[in-house]
Amino acid sequence: MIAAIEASAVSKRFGATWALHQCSIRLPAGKVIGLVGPNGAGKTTFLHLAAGLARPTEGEVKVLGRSPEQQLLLLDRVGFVAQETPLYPSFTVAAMLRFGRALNRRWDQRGAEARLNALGIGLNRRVGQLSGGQRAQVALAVALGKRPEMLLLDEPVARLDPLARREFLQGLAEAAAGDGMSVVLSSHLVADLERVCDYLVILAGGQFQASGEIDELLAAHHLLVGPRLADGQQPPGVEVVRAHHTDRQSSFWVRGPLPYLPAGWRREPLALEELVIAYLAAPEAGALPAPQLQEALT
Amino acid sequence: MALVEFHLDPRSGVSYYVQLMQQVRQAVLFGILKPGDRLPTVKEVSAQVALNPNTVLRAYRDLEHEGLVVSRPGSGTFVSEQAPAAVAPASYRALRADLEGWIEKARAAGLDDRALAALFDHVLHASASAVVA
Amino acid sequence: MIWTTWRQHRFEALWAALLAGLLMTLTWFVGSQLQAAACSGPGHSVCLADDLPGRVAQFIVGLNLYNYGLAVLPGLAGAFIGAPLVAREVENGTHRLAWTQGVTRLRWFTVKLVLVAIPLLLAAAAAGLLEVWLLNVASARANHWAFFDQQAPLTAAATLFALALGVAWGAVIGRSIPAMAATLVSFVVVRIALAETVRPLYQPALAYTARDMSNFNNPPTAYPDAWWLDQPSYYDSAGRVLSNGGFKPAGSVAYAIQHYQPAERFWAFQSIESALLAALALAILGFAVYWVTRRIS
Repeated sequence: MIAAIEASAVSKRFGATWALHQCSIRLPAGKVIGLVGPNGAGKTTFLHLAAGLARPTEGEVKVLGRSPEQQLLLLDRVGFVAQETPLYPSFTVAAMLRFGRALNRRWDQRGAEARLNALGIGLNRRVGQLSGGQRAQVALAVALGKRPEMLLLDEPVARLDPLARREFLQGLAEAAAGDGMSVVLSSHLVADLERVCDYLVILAGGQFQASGEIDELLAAHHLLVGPRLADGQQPPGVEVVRAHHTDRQSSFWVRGPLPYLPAGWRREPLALEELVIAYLAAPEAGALPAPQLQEALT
Repeated sequence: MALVEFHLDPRSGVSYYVQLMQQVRQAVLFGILKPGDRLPTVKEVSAQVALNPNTVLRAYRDLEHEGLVVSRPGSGTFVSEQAPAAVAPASYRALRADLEGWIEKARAAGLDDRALAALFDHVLHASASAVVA
Repeated sequence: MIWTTWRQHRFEALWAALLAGLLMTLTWFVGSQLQAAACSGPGHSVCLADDLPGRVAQFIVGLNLYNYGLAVLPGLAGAFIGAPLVAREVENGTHRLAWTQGVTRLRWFTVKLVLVAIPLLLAAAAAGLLEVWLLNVASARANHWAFFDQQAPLTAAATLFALALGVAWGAVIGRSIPAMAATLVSFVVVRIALAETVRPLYQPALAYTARDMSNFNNPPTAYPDAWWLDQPSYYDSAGRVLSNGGFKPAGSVAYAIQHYQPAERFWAFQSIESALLAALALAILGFAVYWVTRRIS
């Protein structure tokens, strides 16, 4: 099965900083994939590499099975909504759609208009006068207009109020419901990702920390709480993502099959947001092993 | 126009697909959905609650395994003819009143909510196996 | 993409058309007034009729509007139209929108550039031709050398050069205003450097020897339409240099030598400098293509 995005030992440097360092991952097609991580972790860089806006300093990125050298093939098939949902403020909404039609070979004008009409966004409104939520919807309509096989979105709802956010995610979920389109969506809001995604990727410190189907991630991670262990001691048979100690108590966020719990130890429920935070709080500890191992985990 | 709409609670601790299933069951129970009615499409549900379509699909598939709904490719998902009959509103109100009374008694006896729920679960399961047997 | 480019640059296009149109209209007006007055021309000083149009024309001539305008317009075009071409997209982030549609960056850049350049170059050529006509009608000496920068084909080549500079600065700097400033400054510096240091050398200069010191003029009247490149050097009868800097020395001067480019070479020089600027422009555009396709994300 062709992966949506495949990265092999990809590094990307800007001046003296490495935004991504020796990253490898294989993202499955046909899923809505959430990409979460702190600012400056490399989410935007990764999406730019996938969208063909940037080239890796080292390593190789393949999108829909094709290398970025096959530029036109990919430009036709990948839709991208950049951070801040850039549009031309002096254009009307209709002009933005015309822009999409002019620059893309395949274009569904009727679908785009229907989508915007259903949202009550007038085609004659000037883009610069729209609200943030409406602009995001227009950007989404333009990206979807070419009926892409894959849609990439860089924090599309970061600046939106709760209602606008909900409406955007509704539109996105609806778009994902047909055609087996792959979606990769970066966000800080784990609650949003939990609703609209079925697959999650955690990126921190320029490395992929964990990735997998959300159900499987939740099943594979546990929060174990028990009496204080000595430094360096940890529960056997599992990989420790993060450890935190007080004088009397140790908490371990672990990855692996649920181990036998000795007396005094208990397992606390671990919500997705807590799982993500555990990885973000300890980026050195959790780096994702090579994809082969990762597949074994899922 | 869809016959029913769904409401998800992110904080209930119950996964979204289970919430969908519960809401379909309740709609059938209260007669809002009758046998033969068409459930909203996966796309409609995704769009209505901003939920991943695979999650919706999973709920519908599990409901089909339960026998509550039937999926007809090309037409949609329908409440099956074998769905349990709706409970009449009067019976429902009476049962609810009984339950409220029982809860009051249990609390007066000193049971907290957890013990109360545990007792109910225990008796429920015991009675289910009694039915099967 | 034709519609898109027009929609994005239509205000600039209209402003450019307005300015160029205004300038060309004024130039044509002055020229036609001079023609009607029929008293100016090669060998005669500029004179205009005393009626209202004549006085208006005299006023415009006094401002030297077209001469300054035509010298400056190519640089302005490069700065105000060339610099924002890429820079405005990058500073607004819309390059991430434009470059993820179904056209490659190379095609996007090339189409935009060509669509913007063609009307600009046509307007520049037209303005330059108008200036050539005006000089033939009006100038007392018809000394084309005095208005080298304002005539065709150089106006078109200079506009192309300025456009290339603007686009390249815009791509590298990524912000419109600094790119405009850089374009104007670099354009002026290069043009002045070319005019002062390289232009005199396109063909080897001819030397004029003045032997009649009693009738000596600077510049010499022997070739009224020539371009005099330096001040005279004075020599005594033995061939020794008495003075180089143009100051008439005290002792007895036998003859003076001054270098010039003759009028017949004017169009050759125009062609050479045009070709030079065009070649520079193409090289800069090549660099801009590299930068846009490989260096921006």
